Amino acid sequence: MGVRILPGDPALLIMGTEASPEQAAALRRALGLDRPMASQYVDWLAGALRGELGRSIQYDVPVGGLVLSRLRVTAPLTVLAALFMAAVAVPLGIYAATRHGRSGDYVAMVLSQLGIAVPSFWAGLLLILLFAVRLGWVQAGGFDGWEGGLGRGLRALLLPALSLGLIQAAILTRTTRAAVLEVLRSEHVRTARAKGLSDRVVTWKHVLRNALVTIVTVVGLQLGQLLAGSIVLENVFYLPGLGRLALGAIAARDLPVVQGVVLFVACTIVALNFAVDVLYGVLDPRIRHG
Amino acid sequence: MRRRQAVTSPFVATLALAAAVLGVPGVGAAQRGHGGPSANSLTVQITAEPPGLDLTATPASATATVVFYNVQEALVKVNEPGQLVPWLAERWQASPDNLVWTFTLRRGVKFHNGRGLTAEDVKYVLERAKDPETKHPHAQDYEDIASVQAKDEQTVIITLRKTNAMFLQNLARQGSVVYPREAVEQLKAQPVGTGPFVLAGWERGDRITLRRNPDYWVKGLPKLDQVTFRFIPDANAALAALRAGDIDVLGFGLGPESVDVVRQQPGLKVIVGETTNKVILALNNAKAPYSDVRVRRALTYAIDKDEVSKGALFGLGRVLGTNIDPLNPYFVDMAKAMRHDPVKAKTLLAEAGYPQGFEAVLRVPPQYPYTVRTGEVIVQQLAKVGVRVRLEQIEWGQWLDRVYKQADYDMTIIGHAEAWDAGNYANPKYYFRYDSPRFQEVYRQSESTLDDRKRRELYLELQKIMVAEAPVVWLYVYPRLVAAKKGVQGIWTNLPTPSMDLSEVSWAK
Amino acid sequence: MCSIRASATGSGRWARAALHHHRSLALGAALTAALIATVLGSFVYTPGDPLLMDIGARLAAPSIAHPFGTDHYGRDLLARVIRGARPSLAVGAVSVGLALGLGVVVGTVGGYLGGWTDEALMRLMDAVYGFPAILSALLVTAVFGPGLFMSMIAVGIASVPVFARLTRASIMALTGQEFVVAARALGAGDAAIVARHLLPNTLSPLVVQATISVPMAILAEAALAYLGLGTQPPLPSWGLMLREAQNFLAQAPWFAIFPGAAIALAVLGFNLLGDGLRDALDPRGGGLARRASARAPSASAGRAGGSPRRRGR
Repeated sequence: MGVRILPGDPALLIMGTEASPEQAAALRRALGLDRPMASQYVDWLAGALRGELGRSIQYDVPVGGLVLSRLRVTAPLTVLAALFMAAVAVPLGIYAATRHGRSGDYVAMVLSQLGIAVPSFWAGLLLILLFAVRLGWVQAGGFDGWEGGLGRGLRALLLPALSLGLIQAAILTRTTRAAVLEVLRSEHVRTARAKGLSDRVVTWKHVLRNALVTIVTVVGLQLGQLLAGSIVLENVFYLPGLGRLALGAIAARDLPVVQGVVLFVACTIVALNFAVDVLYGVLDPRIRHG
Repeated sequence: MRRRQAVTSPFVATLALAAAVLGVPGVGAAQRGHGGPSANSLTVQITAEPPGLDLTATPASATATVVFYNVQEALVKVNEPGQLVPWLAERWQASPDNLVWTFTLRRGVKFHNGRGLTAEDVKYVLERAKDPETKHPHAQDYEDIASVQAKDEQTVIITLRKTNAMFLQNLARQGSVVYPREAVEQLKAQPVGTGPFVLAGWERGDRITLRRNPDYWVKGLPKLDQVTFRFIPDANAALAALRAGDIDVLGFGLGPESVDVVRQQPGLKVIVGETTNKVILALNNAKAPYSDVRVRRALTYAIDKDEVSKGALFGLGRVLGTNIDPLNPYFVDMAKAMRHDPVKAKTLLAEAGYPQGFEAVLRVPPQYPYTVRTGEVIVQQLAKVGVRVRLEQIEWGQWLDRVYKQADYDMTIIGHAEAWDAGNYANPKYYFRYDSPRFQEVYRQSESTLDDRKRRELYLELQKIMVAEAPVVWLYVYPRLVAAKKGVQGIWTNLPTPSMDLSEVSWAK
Repeated sequence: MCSIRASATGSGRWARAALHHHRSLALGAALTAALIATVLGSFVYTPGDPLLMDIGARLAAPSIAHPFGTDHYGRDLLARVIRGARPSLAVGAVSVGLALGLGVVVGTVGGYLGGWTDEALMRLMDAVYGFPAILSALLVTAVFGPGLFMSMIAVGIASVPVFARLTRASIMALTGQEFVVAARALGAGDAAIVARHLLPNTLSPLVVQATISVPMAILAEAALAYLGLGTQPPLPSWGLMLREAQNFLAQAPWFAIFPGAAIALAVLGFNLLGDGLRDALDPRGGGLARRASARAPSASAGRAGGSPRRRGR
């Protein structure tokens, strides 16, 4: 499954901008970035067309229904975390890029280094310690269901989404910063500035437009990681989501449920990658799928 | 800021998705079970989801908690002080030789399906319990019943094969509930009985709802209109839910470490009482070195039960010396009979041929966290006398299969919640594999004697044998720990039987 | 409010950047060294006994006798944190070693042979790579049981694709080059070419990747232990301690703080060290432009190939 190139070529980002063209081309080939999109999606469809998901051994209900009901927690949690992640990382990354080389940049880099090093479940515990135990603003976990109202449900998801989102934001900050820096140096910007457009116009229009592609790619990819991260966080906050379903099913040797969850996660990740590719094409008219 | 604009366009899609997902489960739909005092409903937390609601198919205490006393009832009831009192049977009489028992059923009792209770129903239920096809979990309780006769609509005559001191007690157990024969098939998912509540719904993995039975044979009961049992296995999540007001009662999930924390909360209260849940360190008597009584006694001496209770239960568990618990009328406190004495332990081990100690595997089911905590403390204590124990956590289903059914273990820790279960030690096939003819003989006598004084003597004898032969190490009684909102009244302090009688529970005015 | 100043005051920033790099490399090296020293030292001596229970002193706040306080059994937390460094480092080292070994083999075979074998192997790597590590670790421990050893295997397996792809990319890039053609012309066999010419040149990216994978492995081990699937009690592991601490957040907050901080410091150390090494190993030397794009890989840019993604957090 491929990710389209330019600007913010992943291959180049991996090897560094000074990589020789043949090395980059080789890497691109190796990464499968040149495989036609069509063949990739055929694979995905074939996988999704599996048979029935079966019934849970523990609960004697269809697995599909179980997975869907748990999604009511996991999906909003993942989305909420993604929102936090983007809301923090993107502005911070841009800020750091524009303050490149000065104290603002270093502060942002230090923060992101710390964020990457902190385990998300520890962050969750610390947040519980501060906001639930000491301050008592939110409850220390548990999820009552959406029937009690949207507000209550969101409050229950607030801390877990924060823990997950903030830590992932650390990574996204660096990517954003790199992408923005990349573009800042590129020809486009220099040309635009040469044309005499004001600084602000240059920023908004060109830098962001081009950096956005990379950012969106990474966000899309990180959604998969957020899903994985939510599995652990569901244990910190006792949320009845997919992760706990999987853990419980594994402990109870409830194979149909385990298979169902695994299949679902795999399909979601494939779908996410697909969505990212499409979004990529939308955002950058230069990339058209042949 | 224009900067934000460019960045938010991809997120419009995400927001739309989020809105869709959030909107799907029916935001703003009718509230469920959040009534509290105004709706006269109660939400109770229990740790495990019942594996089916059929009390004639499973011995699970989770099933008893939901169904027993609330949905289904038996002929005889154990009340809070632990006495046997009339229930569906108004009165009973025994023949002089105690072999023929005549029960008179209450009039006007109706099943939830509208039909009235008759003697034929009792006959059906007892015969079905005896029937090997039914695979009743406690079929041995009905072994001594020779025949059941429905003399008329209200009279049941039960003839015993031989005198059995536990006969009445057995009729009060959870496996003896009375249900209509036409409802046999639905017992697992929709049990029908005569109780104060009717099963309203069961959402797998989440909750069971009961609603009041308007035709209950006790006027004025139940006091609540609706009860919801929610399955929250994590003690912390349950506590969080209680503090948030999402549940009203923490039925079984209060961890001993949180007792003080809850006490300090305004609006909440803690109930600490006694149960019949005896937590033991079971030993596989069929396997060396546990087959040697000296080794078993050595292990008993090696364990500091006070420290175990403090370490695992924050001191809330009462130390035990034998299997007879303090709620039992024949209880004799033998906790001090074999006090902690590591020197003696080492001596006994050396005598038995293990001067350097030995290795062992202690299997515990982490589904019950107290077993893990207890295990950790015991591992430390036994290490001091040279017994090197490895703690192995295995999942509940595995525990039931390997330890309970196949007796594939060295040591394990578990709580036995049923009252009057000394009979387990008279059963050489039980997973202890303890085979003592002396114990079995005394126990047999205690079963057939109805004279209270004689039984008391026999039970004293049983307890002495237990101390001397130490088939297992009895650790402590798991306390009754309930946390509830201050306004909830009527919850039993002591639990002489695994159940949660909610008929008389109400909100304070 | 932001503005762009492209290349105005270069030298001042240069100097600060260089200093920053050296500081972070030094800090990284120091932290990593401290971690290794702690682990090695723990075999000889620990201040306090990580297994000794003292129920009377349970959940005690930090004091002179117990600098980190005690846990719910009265065990000294400082000793347990020190002893808990062992599983973290062990999993980090062993799992990455495993992944490196397997990955290099897979990547070399695929990269060198190409064609069908390559396709098949890369599909397999794709599948493993795309799947969240924590889930695959859960499955491994479900089938084979929990424990330290299983954690190593599970985390190792999840890390293989990264090394495989890196190796493959390097091999493929180098295979077409002149010196390989020359070697073949001189009659060298496949195996010799691989061993003598190709592999040594793939070393540098692999080492860099290793410094990225080790901290990820440490985080994964902590997550598994937190879920109860890693090191079993009573032996300490940082993740396991956090699991135990969660029950006592109100009574003993320090119980949750110290093990978590240990994890963060260990991971931070390796990350900084990795960043520094990447600069050092880069043949083109330092430079701001290099630094900027070199930062990107550690921030998990592109998905496929050797990109170091955060796994299973």
